[in-house]
Amino acid sequence: MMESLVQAIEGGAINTWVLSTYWLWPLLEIIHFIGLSLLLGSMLIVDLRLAGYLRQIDIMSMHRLLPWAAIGFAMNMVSGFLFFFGDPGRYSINIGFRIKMVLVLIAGLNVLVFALKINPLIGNWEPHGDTPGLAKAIAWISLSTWTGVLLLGRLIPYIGTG
Amino acid sequence: MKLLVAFLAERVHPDVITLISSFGSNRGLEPFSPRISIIAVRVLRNAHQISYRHDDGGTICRQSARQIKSINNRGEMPVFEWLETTALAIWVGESLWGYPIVLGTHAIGLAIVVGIFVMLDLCMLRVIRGVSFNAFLSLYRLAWIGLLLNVISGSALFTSQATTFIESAPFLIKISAVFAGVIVGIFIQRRLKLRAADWDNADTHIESSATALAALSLVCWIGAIFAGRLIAYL
Repeated sequence: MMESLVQAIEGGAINTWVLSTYWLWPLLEIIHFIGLSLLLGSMLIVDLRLAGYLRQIDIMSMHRLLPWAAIGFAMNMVSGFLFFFGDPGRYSINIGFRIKMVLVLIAGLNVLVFALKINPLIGNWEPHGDTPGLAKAIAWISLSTWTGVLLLGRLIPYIGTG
Repeated sequence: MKLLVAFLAERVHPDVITLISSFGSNRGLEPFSPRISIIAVRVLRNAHQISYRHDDGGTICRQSARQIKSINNRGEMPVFEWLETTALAIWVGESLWGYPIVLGTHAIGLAIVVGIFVMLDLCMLRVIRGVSFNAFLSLYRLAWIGLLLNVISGSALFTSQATTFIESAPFLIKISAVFAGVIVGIFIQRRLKLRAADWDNADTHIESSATALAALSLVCWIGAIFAGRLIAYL
């Protein structure tokens, strides 16, 4: 499946564009790094509050931070897709990249659990109080998966391929 | 790569050649990205020093500093060359895990420092509203821990390629931007200690001198990322 995906991408318009535009790769890296700062910065604050720390923060005001996590994630998804389209052969067989994608998926499912199980109840919580166990679990899963995504992403070029 | 080695073979000490040709294989590292995989190969023949630059910001491999020393045994070395011969530099540059550990730490520190400061800046600029400024006084402690991580890991990364970094314009710009960002961060922290409680009142106006600091901080950190990423390309 991967091979056919790689073959479909290689030589295509996006692949050619990424490879032939010399300033694009550095620009994508810059966007990817700014995106990760927005994503991890906002998630760090949201998760710490959700884990029961930083109680000065009204739990409802997390909703003001989450859009910035979404903006960071969107920046990184777009730049990340272009990285992949630029060099599908290398990424697709890279074990670091594969684990990173699995972690992104886990983080995404974690967000889904948050949206379905926690978010509807937040309004009833004490604004500056402790948080329930499920919220704490979600917070720590989020912190650890995003940290893993960050580490694996940074180390993709140095981790064995295949 | 083979052409390069052949080219060097005619001109450089045989020990050095053996060393270069073993670089890729013994560390299991390969140039990753599609563009210029080795951007610059500088052969400073007199010093018999060879440095590689890889497109991902870092060293891939560098000649054993010990060997430079033995080949170029002419007494005193300039400080940046000496740095590259320290045990730390050799651990970072050549051991299997040194570089990934230090680079990974640097990435985590970056996310903590830039993440927290950018969020605070956006709050001070009232782009994000309603998040307690008081909480940022606690988060500042975490940000300084992140900074400490990056000063340590950054210094380690620097030693491994000191002579290259010290001549790199993007690197010098990055360091200046980080330094400025930290100074601005200290000023913001002092202001925050005085004003956090007031600013938490949504109707309170945040004085323009404080928003100017926030804007400056944002410029510093984005600038540091910009320049930092370009180190590998320019």
